[in-house]
Amino acid sequence: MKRIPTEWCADEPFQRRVKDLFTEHRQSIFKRTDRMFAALMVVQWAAGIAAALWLSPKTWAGSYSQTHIHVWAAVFLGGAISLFPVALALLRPGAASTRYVIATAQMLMSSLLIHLTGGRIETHFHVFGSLAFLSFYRDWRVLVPSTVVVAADHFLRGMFWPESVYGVLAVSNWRWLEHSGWVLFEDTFLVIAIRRGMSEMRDIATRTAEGERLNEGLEQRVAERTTQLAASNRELEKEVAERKLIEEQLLHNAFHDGLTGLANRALFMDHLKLALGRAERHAAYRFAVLFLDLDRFKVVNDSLGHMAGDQLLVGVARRLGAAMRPGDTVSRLGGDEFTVLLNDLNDAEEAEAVAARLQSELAPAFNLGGHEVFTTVSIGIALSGEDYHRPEDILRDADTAMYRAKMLGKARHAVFHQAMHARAMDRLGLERDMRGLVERRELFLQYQPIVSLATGSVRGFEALVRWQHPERGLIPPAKFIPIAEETGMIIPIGKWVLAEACRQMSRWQKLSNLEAPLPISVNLSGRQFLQPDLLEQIQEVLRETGLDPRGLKLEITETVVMENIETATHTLEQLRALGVELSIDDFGTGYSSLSYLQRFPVSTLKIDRSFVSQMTESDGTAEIVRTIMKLAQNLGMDVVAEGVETEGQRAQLRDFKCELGQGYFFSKPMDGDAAEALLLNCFPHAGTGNQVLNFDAPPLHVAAV
Amino acid sequence: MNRLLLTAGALWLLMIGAGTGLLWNYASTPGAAASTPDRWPAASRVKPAADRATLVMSAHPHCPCTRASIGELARLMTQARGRVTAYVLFVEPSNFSGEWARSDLWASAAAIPGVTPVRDGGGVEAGRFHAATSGQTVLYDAAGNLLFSGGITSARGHAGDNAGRAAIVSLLTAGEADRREAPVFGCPLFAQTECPAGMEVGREKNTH
Repeated sequence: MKRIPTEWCADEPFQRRVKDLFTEHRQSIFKRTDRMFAALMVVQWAAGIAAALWLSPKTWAGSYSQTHIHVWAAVFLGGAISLFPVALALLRPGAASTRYVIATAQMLMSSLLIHLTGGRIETHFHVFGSLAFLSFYRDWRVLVPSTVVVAADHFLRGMFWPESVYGVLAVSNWRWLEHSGWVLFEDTFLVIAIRRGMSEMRDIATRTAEGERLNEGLEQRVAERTTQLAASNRELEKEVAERKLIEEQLLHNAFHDGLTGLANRALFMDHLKLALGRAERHAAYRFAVLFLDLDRFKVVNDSLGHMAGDQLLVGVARRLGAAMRPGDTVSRLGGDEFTVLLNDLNDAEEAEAVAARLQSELAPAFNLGGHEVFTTVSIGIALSGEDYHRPEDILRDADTAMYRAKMLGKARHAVFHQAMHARAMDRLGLERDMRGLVERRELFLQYQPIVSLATGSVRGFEALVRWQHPERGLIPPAKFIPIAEETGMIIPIGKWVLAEACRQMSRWQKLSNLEAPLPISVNLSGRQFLQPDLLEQIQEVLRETGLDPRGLKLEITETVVMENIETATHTLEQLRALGVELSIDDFGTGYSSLSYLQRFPVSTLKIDRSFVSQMTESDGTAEIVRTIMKLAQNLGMDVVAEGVETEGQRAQLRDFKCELGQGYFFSKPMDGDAAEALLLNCFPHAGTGNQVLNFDAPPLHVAAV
Repeated sequence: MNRLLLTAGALWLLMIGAGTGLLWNYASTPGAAASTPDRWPAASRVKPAADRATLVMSAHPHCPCTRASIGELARLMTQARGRVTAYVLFVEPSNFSGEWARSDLWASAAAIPGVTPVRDGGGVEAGRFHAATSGQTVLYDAAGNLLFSGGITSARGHAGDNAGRAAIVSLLTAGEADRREAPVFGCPLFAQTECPAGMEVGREKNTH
């Protein structure tokens, strides 16, 4: 056996622990033995009654009998002896007093049993058996009351009734000592056995305490490690939860728009693919794709900033989501483009009704950081049909329809039909063919004279670009210029036009040898106007062509100028500083700020042809033209009326004191050679002033051209 | 709690003491003493031994206390070693059949060498010896003179050494004894209404 470390023996807590364990163990034995004696006493009480009934059931007097007093003694006296210790064993288990009462009662019971059995010598073994049983307590002190009871019994009875103990009337006290001596003899062995048992119990307690102490460190380490593991586990769980959250977020992000939370293109296309599959399986199933594009989103972005633009997109997304049915899919493809998948439609009208509802939902103002912003949306609708097998196709057609809605004036919806596709394909072809347009020399200029309404003299030309397509033939500018604007091809085209017009005018000026340069008007697109190196480009063109800057008049639409007032003002001032003339084109069709207008270094206003064409038929329009004339006169600007086609228009314009005009009434746009011929014809005597042409009758000057 | 426990313990001991006292009182109270004839009754049908002493014990066949007397008789016969002839008269009331007397005590008595159990119908023989208490033992010498009369147990139903047996053994072995009488502890042989003619049953205080 492992020895206890010496230092532990002097360790007071250790000794205290040993004592506690020893006491706990003894207490456990006491309680267990109390219960055992309680059971034993009940059994021996019953056995006493049985013995009395067996040995002395009745007492007799002749032929008469009655219950023997032994039976009553076994029942009542035996019960009195037994029940009190039994009660204590149950109510106060483990208490010292319980043990002493039990020991006393056990001896009394032995005495009663001996008496009931007629003092048989065999019954005396009950005494020694009881003493042996009492040693189960492992407490030698319980033997004291039992021994005292036996000794007192024999002493008293030996003293007053010796016959009952010794069978003789007079005995020596040695008999009493002999009787008590045998009891003490057994007690001696029992005490020795009990003390040995207690010693072993102390050893067990010591070893247990030793084991506990040895385990303390281990348990502490286990506890620490358990704490560490628990912390690690918590950390791990947290990481797993975070990772799961991130994965869910990634999965969500993969299929949703980060800004609006709507489905993104991938998810929309997936739903669209499912819808197509369903449509192929079920002939009655119909669906539609709505392609939405905000009409003035760029204005919001440019004026209120991108944050406001994002807020607008979120607001639009929210309204769209709220307006849709649960089974439909709303997505944001990007920018200001949204798509909607409408499931289970009955007919096209239903899709159009939804589109109209969406437009009305978006009609109320959005509050963007204190600014009330109104927006409209153009919607293209593509309905499911047998022709569609790929989601990209139906989405493309919805997009095409949306463009059609835009072209038709925005803030409306259009349902896709095959003609749109043809147009779109045509447009695509134009876009494709437009690449390398300048290098392939497919562009050419035509020139329309600007004449004095009063004198009929040529006061300048406007250069108009034309595209001679090798396969499609002559393509009007109204068809390809918007495409060029969108695709950015307007930049190289504009450069070419500017250079070619300047080159032509320079040549004509040299040929005509005019003192005052005849100006040629060239349109500048919005994109061109916003180019940062516009000034350098013009300087370079003027230098290369040798054109007097006064011979170049740049026409800019009022919308382009007004959308970028600060930049436009600066650019216009720089251009004016070069000596270039400036003109506001299509005046009256866009929006202008009159306060800014007077600040611009603009020399000419060009009244849009729409006013001129309706002027003779509408008094209101005539008043507008008159007002523009007044405005220009007050600001010291020249006015050119565009689209003059009749004598009446010319006459009325003259009445309004409009000085210049251009239009079919005077001349259609003509190629460079014709224009040159006209110019030479009109100015045969260069240096003598402008030649007056007779434009009294349109056929005359058309013939001249 | 301790005071309550002490009080309860004291009461408990007192109660047990009282019960024990009653029990001891019962056990130590002798039965009615007999005025045994000094000479062997001539009318007795029990024949005394001519060459040795004759012992006659009157017994109630169902008295549990007499079991101790039979046990002491067995020891006595062992200690006397053939110096005495013994009879045990099992008194049978007249209104009982012949088998009533043949109890376990009869069998115990019959098993003792030198002892003859005798059925005493109506207690006639017991009456001739004036026996009134079960366990009443009388000893006559070969000449028919009374040597001893009394019980051979120290208490009712209590086995063990006692003055009566010691006196008889002494008379048989040494011819003398310190006493010729002893109290008898046992059940009454007769109820008041069953006493044989001329016999009076009563209790006397045991005197040593």
